[in-house]
Amino acid sequence: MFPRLLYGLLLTMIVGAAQARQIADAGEGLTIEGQPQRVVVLEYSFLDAVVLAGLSPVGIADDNNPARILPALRERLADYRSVGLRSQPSLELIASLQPDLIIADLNRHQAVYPALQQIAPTLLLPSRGIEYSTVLDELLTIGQALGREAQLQARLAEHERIMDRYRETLARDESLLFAVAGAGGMTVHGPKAFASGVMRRLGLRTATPEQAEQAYIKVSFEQFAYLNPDWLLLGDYQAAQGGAEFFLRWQRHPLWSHLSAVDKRQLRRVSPYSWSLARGLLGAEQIAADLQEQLR
Amino acid sequence: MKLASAIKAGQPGQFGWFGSTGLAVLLLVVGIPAALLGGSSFQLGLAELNEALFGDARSLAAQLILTVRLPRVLVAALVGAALAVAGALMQGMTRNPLASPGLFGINAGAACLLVLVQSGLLTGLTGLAGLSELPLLLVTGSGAALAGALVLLLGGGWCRPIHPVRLVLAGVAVSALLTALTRTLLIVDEQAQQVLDWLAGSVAETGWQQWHQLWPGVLLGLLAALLLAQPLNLLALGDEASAGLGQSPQRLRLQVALVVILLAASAVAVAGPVAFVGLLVPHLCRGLAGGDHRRLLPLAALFGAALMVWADLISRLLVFPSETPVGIVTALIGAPGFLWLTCRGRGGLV
Amino acid sequence: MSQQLRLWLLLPVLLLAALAGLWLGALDLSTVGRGAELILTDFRLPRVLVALLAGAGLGLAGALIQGVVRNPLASPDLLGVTAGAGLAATALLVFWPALPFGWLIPGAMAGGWLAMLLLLWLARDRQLNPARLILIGIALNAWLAALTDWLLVSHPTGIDAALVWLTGSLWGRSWPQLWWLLPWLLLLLPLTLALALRLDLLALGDEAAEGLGAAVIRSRRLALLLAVMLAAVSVAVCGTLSFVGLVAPHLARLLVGAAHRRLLPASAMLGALLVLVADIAGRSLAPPLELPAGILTALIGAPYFLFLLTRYRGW
Repeated sequence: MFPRLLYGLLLTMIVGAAQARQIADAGEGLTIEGQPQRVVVLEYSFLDAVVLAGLSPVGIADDNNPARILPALRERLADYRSVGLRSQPSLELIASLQPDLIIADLNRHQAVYPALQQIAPTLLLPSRGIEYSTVLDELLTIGQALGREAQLQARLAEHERIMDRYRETLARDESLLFAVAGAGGMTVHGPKAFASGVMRRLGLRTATPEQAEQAYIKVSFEQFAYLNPDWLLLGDYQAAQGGAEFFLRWQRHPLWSHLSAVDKRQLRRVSPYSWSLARGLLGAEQIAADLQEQLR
Repeated sequence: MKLASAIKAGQPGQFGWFGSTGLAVLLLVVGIPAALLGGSSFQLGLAELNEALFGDARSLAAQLILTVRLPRVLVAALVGAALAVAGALMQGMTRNPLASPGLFGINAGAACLLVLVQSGLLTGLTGLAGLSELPLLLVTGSGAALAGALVLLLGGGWCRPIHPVRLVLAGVAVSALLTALTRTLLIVDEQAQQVLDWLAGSVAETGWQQWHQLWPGVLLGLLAALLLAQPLNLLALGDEASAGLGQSPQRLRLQVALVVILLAASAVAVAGPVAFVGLLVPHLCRGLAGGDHRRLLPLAALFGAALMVWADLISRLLVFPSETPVGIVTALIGAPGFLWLTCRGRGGLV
Repeated sequence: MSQQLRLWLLLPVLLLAALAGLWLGALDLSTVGRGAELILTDFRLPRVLVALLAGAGLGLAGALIQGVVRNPLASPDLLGVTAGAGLAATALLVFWPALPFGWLIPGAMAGGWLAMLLLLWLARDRQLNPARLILIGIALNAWLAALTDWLLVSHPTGIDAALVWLTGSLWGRSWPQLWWLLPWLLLLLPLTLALALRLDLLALGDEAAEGLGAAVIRSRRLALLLAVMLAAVSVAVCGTLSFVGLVAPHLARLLVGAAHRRLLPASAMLGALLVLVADIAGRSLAPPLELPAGILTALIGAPYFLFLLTRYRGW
C-alpha cells in the first residue's frame, strides 16, 4: 500500500507543478488543464471516483434507470442528465451538455472514441471484469484527470485503513467462495474477479480452481461439489422472484447436505449488485462490511 | 471408408438401414458410459459405474453418477432424438432441405419469453406478480408453443392451399422479430446476460426432475411421428399425387406441424435452443438409409441421441473445469460433419 | 404500369426518410444553440448516408443471392459471409479491446472475405449447383456462428461491444465509415444493375437457361461474388444487420414483381429505407435511450413482411 501512496503523492507534486497535465489511459491519453467541472460519466464503475472527489457529473449513461446506481452513491449525486444506454450513449446529448471531461469505458465506447474526443478530452479506461487492484489504480487516474488527486489520495488512504481493520477481525483458515446464481446456472467468481480480489485483500482464501484464467467460471453441481468451499456467499439475481430455480433444485439434491458450507451452516446470501456490479471503492468497502456481518 | 462410399453413392441400400442402425447403436453404447464417467474432477471409473448401476451406490462417486450424470445423459439423448425427428418431419413436410424445427420460431419464442419473464419486464407490464415465479420449463415451453402457433397462423396454416414456402417465410419473420426483442433486453439489461448460456443451449443443469417432465411429451411426439411416416412418404410424390391417393395434404401438414412443435418445444424447454441437430441429423440419415420416412425417423432419433450424448461429453472437456453450452458443441462438431456430407457427394441431400 | 410506378414511388419516400433522419434525434435541434451545426454535420448527416448505403448494399446482396440460389430462405447471412465478419469482429473486440475502432472495418471485411473463400473452396469443382452451395453456406454459417458464441460465452467480461456489433448498429458511424463504404458501393452498384437482365434469364430455371451454356455459370459466379462483396462491406461498417438482406428482396418482390430489372433497384431502395427508418426510430423513439438499428430492422420489417405475406400466392 505504501509504495502506491508514495508514488501517487510524487505524481501529485509533479502534476501540480505543471499547468497542462498529461494523463496516460487505455486509449491515446489526454492533455487537460485546471479542474474540470462538467464531467460526463459513461459507466457506473467510474462514478465512485468522481463522487469521492467531491464532484457530481452533469451527465451519466445510467441506462435511464438510476436505481442501478449503488444507493450510497446515488444519494450524493446532484441533478444530472441521463445520456442513455451504457452500450450506446447518445452523442448528441453528450455534446449538448458541453462537458470538459468525458470518462468512457474501453470495451463499450471504443467505437465512438474519436467522436467523444471531438466533444471534450476523453479518459478511456477498462471497466468490466477488472481486478480490485486495477480499480484502485483507476481511482487515482481519474483523480489526476479531475485535478483533485490529493482528495482521492486521502480517501484511498482511509480505504486502506478501513480494509486493514476488517482484515484483522476477518482472518481465518476456511475457504470462501462467491458465486452468482442466475437463470443460466451457477457462475463462480474466479481469482481475477473483483470480489475475489477484495477477499484476498482481507486475508481470506478463495476456493476457486487455480487453473482457471477467467474471472467468471460457469460450473455444474458436480464441479461445485468438487470446489466444496467452507463458506458459500451466494448472490442471487432472482432473489426477488423466489430464488434461481436451479438453486432450489440443488438444495433438494441428495448430496447437497454433504457440502461443507451446508454441513457447517455457512451458506450466506449477499447482494449480487454490490458484490459484482459495483466495482469501486465503496463497493469494496460494502463487501468487507458484508463479510464482517456474515462470517461471524 | 465404407461409410464414405455409401454416402457418396447416395444409394439407400448400400450402407443399409440395418448397418446404419448398428452404427448409431454402437455410438450410443460407447458414448453413454463415456459421458457418464468422462470429464470430472472426481475419480470416476468403471468400478464406480458398476457400483452405481448394479451395486448399493454408497460412495460419493457412485452417488454422483446416479444423481448428476445419469439424468443429464438421458435428457441429452432424448433432446437429441426429439430435435432430429422434428427436423426430419420438418424437411419432409416443407420439401425444403434447409428447413429445421427452429423455423417455427420455437427457439426464438422460448428465449424471448424467458428473457421477458426473467428481467421482470412482463411482471411490470401485466402486473401479475406470480409470473416471475413460474417454473422455467413452463415459461420456455409455453414461449415455444406460442411462437409455433403464431407461425402456423400467420404462415397460412388455416388456408386452403398451404404454401410450405409461406409457412417457412412466416417462421423466419417471427423468429427475427422475437430474436430482436430478446436482443433488446440483453443490451439494455446487463443482468439479462445471465441467460446467455441458456440461449446457446445447455443440459448442464438438468436432473431427474427434467427427465420426468420431458419424456412423456417426447414419447408421444415420437410415436405420432412414426404414424405420420407413411403419409409423408406419399407427400414426397407431390401434393396432387398424394391427394389422388386419398389423403389431404393440408391436414397432413397441419398434423406434422403440430408434432414438430410438440417435439421441438419439449426439447427447447429443457435444454434451450440446441443448434444444428435438427438440420444435420436428418441429412445424415437420409444419406445413410434413404428417404423412406418409416426408416428415416427411427434412425434419426438414434443418431440425434448419439450426437447429443457425445456433444455433452465434449462440452464438459472443452474448457475444463468450466462448462461450455452443449449447443455450441453440436454446431462446432455438427457443421464440419455437415460440410463433409455435402462435399463428398449427393448423399440424398439435394 | 403499376409495378413500374411503385418502383419510382420509392424514390421520394426514400428522400423523405432521409430528411426525417436529419430532423429527428435525441435532441430538438431548434432548442440547441451552438452545437446544432456539429450535431447536424458530424452526427446526423453521415449517419443517414451510411444507413442508406449499407442498407442498399444488403438489400442488393440479398436479391442477388436469392436470384442465384432460387431459394426464398437464402440471404447473405446464410452464406457465412456475415458470420465470418461477425467472428472476426467479435475476436478483435474480445481479444484486443484497446484496438482503435478504425481497424474493426478492415478486420470484419477480411473475416467476410475469408468465409467466402472458404465457401468457394468447399464448393469448388461444382457447376455452382445452387442448392449445394446454400447447404455448404448454412453449415459454414453455423460453424462460424458457433465459434462466435463460444467466444462470447467464454469471455463474459468483454462482450458488451461485441453484442452491439452482432446486433448491427449505426451508433457513432460518421464520415470515416462513410469513406469506407462509398467507393465500394460506387463500384459495385452499377455492375449489379447491369447484371439484372442476365439474372432474369437465370430465374427461368436450369432447363431454360441450359441453352445459354457457360454464360449461365459465369453470371451466377459474378452475381454471387458481387453479392458477397456488397454484404461484406456493409456488414463490416454496420455490424450484422441480419434481417435486411433476407426481407428486402421479398418485400421488393411483393411490391414490384420478380423481374430483376425492377427487383434489384427496388431491393436496394427498400433495404436502404429499412435500415434508415430503423436507425431513426432507434435514436428518436425513446430518448435518451438509443437502440441498435439491428433490433429495429426486425421490429419494423417483420410485421410489415408478415402483413404482405398474407397476400402471398406463391412465386
